[in-house]
Amino acid sequence: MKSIVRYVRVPLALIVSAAIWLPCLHLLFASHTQRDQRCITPQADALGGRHLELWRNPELRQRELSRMRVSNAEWDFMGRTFLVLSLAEMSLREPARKSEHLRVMDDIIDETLWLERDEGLYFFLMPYAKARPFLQQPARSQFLDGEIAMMLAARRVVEEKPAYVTPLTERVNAMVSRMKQSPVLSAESYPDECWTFCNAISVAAIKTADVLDGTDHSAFLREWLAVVRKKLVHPETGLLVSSYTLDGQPLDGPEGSSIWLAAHCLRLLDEDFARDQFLRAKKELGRELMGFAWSREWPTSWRGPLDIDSGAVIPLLEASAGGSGLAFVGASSFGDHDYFAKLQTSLDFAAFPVQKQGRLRYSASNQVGDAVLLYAEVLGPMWDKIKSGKLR
Amino acid sequence: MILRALLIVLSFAICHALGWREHTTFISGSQADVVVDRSVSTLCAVAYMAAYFGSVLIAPVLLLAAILINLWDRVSGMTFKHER
Repeated sequence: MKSIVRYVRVPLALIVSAAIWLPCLHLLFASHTQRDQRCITPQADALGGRHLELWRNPELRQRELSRMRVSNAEWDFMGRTFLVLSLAEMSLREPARKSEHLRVMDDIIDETLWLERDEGLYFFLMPYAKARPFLQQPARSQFLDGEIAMMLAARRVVEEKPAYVTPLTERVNAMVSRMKQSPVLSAESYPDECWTFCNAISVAAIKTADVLDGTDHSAFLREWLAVVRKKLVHPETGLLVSSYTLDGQPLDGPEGSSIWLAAHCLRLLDEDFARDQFLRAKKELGRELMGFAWSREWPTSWRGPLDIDSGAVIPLLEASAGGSGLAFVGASSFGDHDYFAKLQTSLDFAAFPVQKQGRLRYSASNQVGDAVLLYAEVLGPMWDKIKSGKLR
Repeated sequence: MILRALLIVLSFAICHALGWREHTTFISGSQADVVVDRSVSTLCAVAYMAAYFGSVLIAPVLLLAAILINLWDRVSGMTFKHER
C-alpha cells in the first residue's frame, strides 16, 4: 500500500496543483480598467506617450523603424496610419491636448506624403510588388491611397486644415475612378492583388471625405457593399475573404489580420453587416480559455500560408500575433468588453510589457503592433462623429 | 520539487537580467536590434520565453505540489526518503 501511495501521490499532487493554479493564473494579469468615450485610460496614455516620444526623438524613431523595415516596409507605413488615427481619437477625447497631437499628426502626414513622392510607390511596399507590373496603369497601390486618405481625413475631422483638402479630394477621386474599373469595385494593393483590409479602409476614407466636403459617393458605396457581399464572401464561414484578384477571384480566405479591421471600417457603411462580420469573426476566429482570449488567423474551414501578416502562430492554440492584435480593434469597436478584457489579459501575460517612466510598450510587439493596440484603446469618438454626419 | 521550482525562477531572473526580454519582438517578425544576428536573437528570445513561462506556469505548480505532498505526509504519517 505504501509503495502505491509513494508512486501515486506525486503525479496526483501535480495534477491537483495544476488544477488549482492554471484557472487562477489570469487573475495575476487581469486589468480592471474601465474604458469610456470621454477619457483616456492610463494604459492608453502610457502607450501614447511612448509613440509621441518616438516622433519627438528622431534617433529613437530611426532605430525603431529600421528594425521593422528589415522585415517589412509596410509596417513603417501602417504604424503611421494607426498612430494618426489614434491621435485623432485622443484629440477628440482630450481637447486640451489637441494642439500637441495635431502637430505630431501633421508631421507624420507631411513626412509620409514626402516619402511617397520622393522615394516612390515601392518605398512602403514589400519587394514582391516589383515582381510584375500592376494591371491598372499608371501604377498605384490602394494600400497607400486608402490609408493616406484616411490619415488626411482623420486629421481634418479633428480640425480643418485647408492644405489637406485638395490632397484628400485627389486621393479619393483616384481611388473611386480605379475601383470603378474592377468588376468587384476594388483596386490593387499589389499587382493583381486586392486586399479587403485596404479596400475597407478606402471606403471608410471615402465616406469620411463625403462628410467633410459635402461630396456624395453614397451610390458608389452602396454598390460596393452589394458587390462585396455577393462576390467576396467565403461560403463556409460567411466572412469576407482577405485577398482577391482584380477581377474578383479569391486568393486567400478569411484571415484574422484582415477581418477585424475590415468589420470596424464597414461600420461607417452598414452597421448591421459590419456587426454580422464581427460576430462571425468572433465565432470562427475568437478563442477563450481560463480567462485568456486570442484570435486565430484562419477559421477551421480554411487554412492559409503563414506569412508576414499573420505573424507567429502558436501551435495547438493557433493564436496569431497579427490576428490577436487586430481583434482588439474589433472588440473595442463593437463594444465587446468581455472579449477585450480577456485579450488584454493575454497581452499582459504573453506580450512582455515594458513600463518605464510612465511609458508603455510590448517587447513581443513592435511599433505598428503597439500603434494598433493604442488605436483599439482610444477608438470611438471619431467613428461616432462621422456616422452622425456632424463634424463641427 | 521546491529546488526545481527555484531553479526555473532563477533561470528566468538571469535571462531577464541579461536583457533578453527585448528579443521577444521576434514574435512580431521584427528584430530586437538590426546589428544582432537574427538567429542569436531568436535563441535568446526562446530561452527567455521558456524561462518566463516556466516561472509562471510550472514553478508555481511545483511549489503547490510540494506543499500538498508535505501536507499529505503530515496527515497520513507517511514519509519517503530521497524526496524533497
